Amino acid sequence: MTDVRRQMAWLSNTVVLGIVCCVLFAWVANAGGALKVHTARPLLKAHVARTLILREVGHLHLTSKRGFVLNEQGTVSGTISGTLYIHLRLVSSSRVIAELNIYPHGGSLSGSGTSGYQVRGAFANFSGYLAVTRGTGSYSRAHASSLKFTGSIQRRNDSVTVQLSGPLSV
Amino acid sequence: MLGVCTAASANAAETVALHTSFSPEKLGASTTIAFGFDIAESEGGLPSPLRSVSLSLPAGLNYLDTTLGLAICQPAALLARGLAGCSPNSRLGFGSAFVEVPFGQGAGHEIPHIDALMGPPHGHNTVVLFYADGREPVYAQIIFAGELVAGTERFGGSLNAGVPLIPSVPAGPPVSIVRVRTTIGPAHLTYYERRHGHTVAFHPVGVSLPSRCPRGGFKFLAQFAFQDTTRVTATSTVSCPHRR
Repeated sequence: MTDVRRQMAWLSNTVVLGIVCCVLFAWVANAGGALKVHTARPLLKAHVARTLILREVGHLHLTSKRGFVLNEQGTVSGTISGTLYIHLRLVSSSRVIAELNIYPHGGSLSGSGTSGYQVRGAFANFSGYLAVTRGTGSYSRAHASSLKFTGSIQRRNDSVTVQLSGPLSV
Repeated sequence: MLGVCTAASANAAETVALHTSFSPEKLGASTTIAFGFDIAESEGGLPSPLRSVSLSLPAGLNYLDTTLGLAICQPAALLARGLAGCSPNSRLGFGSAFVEVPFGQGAGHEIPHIDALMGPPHGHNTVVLFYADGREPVYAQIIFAGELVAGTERFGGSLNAGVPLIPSVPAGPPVSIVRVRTTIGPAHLTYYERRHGHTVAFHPVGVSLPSRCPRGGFKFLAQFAFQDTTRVTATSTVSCPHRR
């Protein structure tokens, strides 16, 4: 009886050990496979473009004026907010070229465009479209081709109010 | 300083001498542009009535600086109430004219006051209203508009004005304009604004001359069209200011 018990115990231990080995082998094999997959395919961080609909209003004051150029600085608020710089260059009595730089939190946006220009009493109004062609930081992939750009210059002190609207891809 | 004037005519019916000047004539500074013309008939008779003038201004004039025309004068208000119908801040300049009537002794008559005012813009173009309040021999208020149109590289823009026929007497033949002198600029103009609850007078800033004089001076060119279909082109150049 004693021998029989010993044999049963050995058999039981062997079976348990075998199961444990199988489980360990399977885990190691799976772990190795998973590791193998990760090392074969480097991690890719995909950029998903999204579109912001800008509805910006900016209020600026004159910082300098040279020849046909007004340099303005102010703040913009709306979909994004931050510091706004605009250079307005009068190219004829009825057209103006606008260059714009916005510095929202975490980056910047730059764009330019041509607008019609109309003197109307105390104000000179401009209206046209501009394209955003460059960006940095969070806006490094920013682009827009036809943002509506309107505004007015108070002729007595050259302060400027602008509106910027349209889709911006970031 | 008066510019050198020349005139050329398509069929020698009318001749025109164009006069232009800047005051002050200082590069990079605000100025008043004075322009005028004398019209004659080559045979010594009465020139045909003027129907339009197109004055091309020199390139480089800076329209960004000017605070001329801070208010808009509505033609209907001008007709109804004369100059009192428009804000002083709409005045751009002033001048005079000399007309001849096609009857009587042939003597000329002066229209002593012509005013230039800022009108409602047409499209993107600035509109200048010319207003004359005729007393004798022409008892009529005359308003006509000039439109400042963007120019080319050589000329900075042109002021294009259609001139109405000015009746000498009701249902009579029109008068002939033989001389016009006028200014566009801040000289002798006073504007007003509200500041801290008070009305304060100030002088507007005119169009600025460029900081460099163009080669050969500031060139003006004017085209005149007359009722007898004659077209005349006249040029005038304001010399570069002397270096000090």
